[in-house]
Amino acid sequence: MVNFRITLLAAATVVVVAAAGAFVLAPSEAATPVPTEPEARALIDKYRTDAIKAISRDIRYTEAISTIGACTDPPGTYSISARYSLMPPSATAGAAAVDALRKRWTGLGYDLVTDVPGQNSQLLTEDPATGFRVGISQRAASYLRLAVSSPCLALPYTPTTPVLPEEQASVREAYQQYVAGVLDQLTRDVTALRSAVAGSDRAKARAAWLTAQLTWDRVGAAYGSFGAYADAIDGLPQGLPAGVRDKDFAGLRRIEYGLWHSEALGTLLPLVEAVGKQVTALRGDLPGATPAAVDLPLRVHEILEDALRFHRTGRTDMGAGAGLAEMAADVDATEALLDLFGSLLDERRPELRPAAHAALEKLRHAIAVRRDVDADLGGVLELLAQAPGLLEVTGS
Amino acid sequence: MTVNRRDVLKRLTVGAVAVAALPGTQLGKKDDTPSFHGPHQAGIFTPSQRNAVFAAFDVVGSLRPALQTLTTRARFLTTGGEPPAGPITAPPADNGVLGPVVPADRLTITVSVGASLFDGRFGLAARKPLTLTTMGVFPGDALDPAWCHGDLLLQICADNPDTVHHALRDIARATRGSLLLRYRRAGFLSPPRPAGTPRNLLGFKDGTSNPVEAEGAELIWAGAGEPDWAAGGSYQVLRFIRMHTEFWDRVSLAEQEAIIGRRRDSGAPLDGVRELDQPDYERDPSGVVIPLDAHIRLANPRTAETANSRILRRPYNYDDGMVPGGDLDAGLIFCAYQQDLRRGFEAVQKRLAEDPLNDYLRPFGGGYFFALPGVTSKEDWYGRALLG
Repeated sequence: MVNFRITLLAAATVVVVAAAGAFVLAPSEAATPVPTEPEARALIDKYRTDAIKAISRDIRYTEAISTIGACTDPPGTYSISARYSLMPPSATAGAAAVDALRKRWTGLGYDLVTDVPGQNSQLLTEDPATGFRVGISQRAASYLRLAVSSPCLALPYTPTTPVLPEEQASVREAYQQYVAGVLDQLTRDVTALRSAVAGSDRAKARAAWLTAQLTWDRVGAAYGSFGAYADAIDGLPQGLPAGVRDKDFAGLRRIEYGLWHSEALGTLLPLVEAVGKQVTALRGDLPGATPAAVDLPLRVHEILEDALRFHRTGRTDMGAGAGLAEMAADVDATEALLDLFGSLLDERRPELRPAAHAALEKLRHAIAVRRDVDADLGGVLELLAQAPGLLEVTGS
Repeated sequence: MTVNRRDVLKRLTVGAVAVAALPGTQLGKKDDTPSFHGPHQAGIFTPSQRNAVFAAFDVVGSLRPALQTLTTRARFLTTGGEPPAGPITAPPADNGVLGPVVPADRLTITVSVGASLFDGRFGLAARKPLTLTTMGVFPGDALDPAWCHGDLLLQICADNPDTVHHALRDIARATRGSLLLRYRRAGFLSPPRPAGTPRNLLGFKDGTSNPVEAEGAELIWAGAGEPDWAAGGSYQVLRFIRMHTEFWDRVSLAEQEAIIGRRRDSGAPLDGVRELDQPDYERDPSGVVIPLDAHIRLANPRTAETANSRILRRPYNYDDGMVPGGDLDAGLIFCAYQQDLRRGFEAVQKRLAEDPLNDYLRPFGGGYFFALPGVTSKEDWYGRALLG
């Protein structure tokens, strides 16, 4: 199972609330229409595209950041803005772009707010028809910054304060320690599994496999976390050309398949030993292999999303029928992760974590009595999906 | 408020123009009956009808009479008219679902053959189209053999679902004993919401950039090196793709748009404003506006080297029951035509191996087929040149 959501948020624009005061704009003119948030975002695209078309195609995007900034006047309103860093091939090309945009914007009837020519030039204009501001500044010979910002808007929700990168980093550090503890347990579990398999006791081996599998599930390795290590430890046969017969099908799922399909225990021994090696390797490589801090907020709901997509549909079941037990382990991992984000979540939405814990407890009970599992899982997931948006970092 | 409203109006106007300029999505006029006879089959460049069924059959009797019967039925069904009255003592000739006179309803029936047809049962092993193989397994697939492959594939499309049902039922009856239904799945094309390319069930416009008919010789119709009988045909890929719609709905809009590379509302590429704006990847080499792994960017990087891997997509949404776990069983019937399977679909699929969208999709069936050349006259029948 290979997943790529990891790389996404880094590339997506980051939505943040800037420190109050950083985005103070002139009070909106009384006649200026106030768009809704989606309209404002569409207008930002429009101003951006219009500006980009007016400058040389040799000027390339290097960074894009979207922010929501609090306005002080009137209080409780926000300005949505986007900044695009651009790289012109030369200082001359950069200056030509500034000149082209001055011509374009004044030609469109925009009002000049700031116009500082020369090196470190700054040009800021306002479209009187919408109150949107669009500006370009040349910060260095090969660095331009295009900025578009909306007038102050009333939003139908209160934006949350962004998480600081160092706060996220410390959550990652804590998660890494949590995983280290679980992997130490897994090392012992795999050793026990090896003994059981070597001792030719299938019942004991099956029990030992389940213990090891549940321990691995508690790592919370959803969504392709731990990459190739995770694939080697519990990769699935789907997507492999020969399925369960594929030579690349290995790891705990392959061992499960063998244990429940009458395969000779001796043939499983090398597979168990390979898992042991992978666990050791992952344990040693944890600082590098632990998911990036920016991805961890997503895991709050993704561990159970995986339970829904894989355990509930039977795709991970190689014979043991342990889907429900595994989902209970996923609940453990989710609770652990939720608590690692504890104070960050509580500061932003105090009611979320208690509600999530209550719903997780309800799910755990549903699993125990084997009733209403789908309903409770769905309910938990809708709640947990609120978390990632509260835990995003500022885009510097 | 005036300016905003004007802006909205402006956008609406642009949307309307876009629809008119967009091949493959305009809904046909009532008298716009696709021609049954021609060098190519209808249902490929034909603007997509609103409803479809994809039905695969295995040939269990004689191939030649089955194809001849299939031709006769398809010719009648796509033309429409009054079914012949049989003796009152026999069961009625027509199933009556469409009333006493069968309307054409822009019905197209597109007949394709799978690699298994060339396995030796019919003496056709030497006549196989050059690149026709059995569809393999791609990373992320969870293929169910019951939903894969088949000797023949019928793509039956019409403006109304009862017409599609009527046609499949009529054909299955007429070929009973020689063609055995292997699987079938119905799909629908959503109306423009509010304009432009129809949306898929992820809420995004799907099929915005498609080759046009003038590019057929270059990109779609069988090319050099193919057996003579194959001229005018096209390789067809069918993929049944389940969408994890519940999971998708729990992802933020910003992330959804970054995954697809387009705005959800307008369908515009993230570096543009309108649906038909061309993404400018050269200006965004590190993917800060449209991520390097955005679906549209991987699927069609718009470089000179990838220009000939463009394929004609003719997708339909499906929405059927539930999957274990209680989620909706909904998704996409991906259907695409191309000149060469390796150069077309497989090249695209290779690029999409790293697509973050894959986490929300679960392909569970489909196959590779070759759409036969068109039936050229009243005396001609499907596969006549193939069977010799």
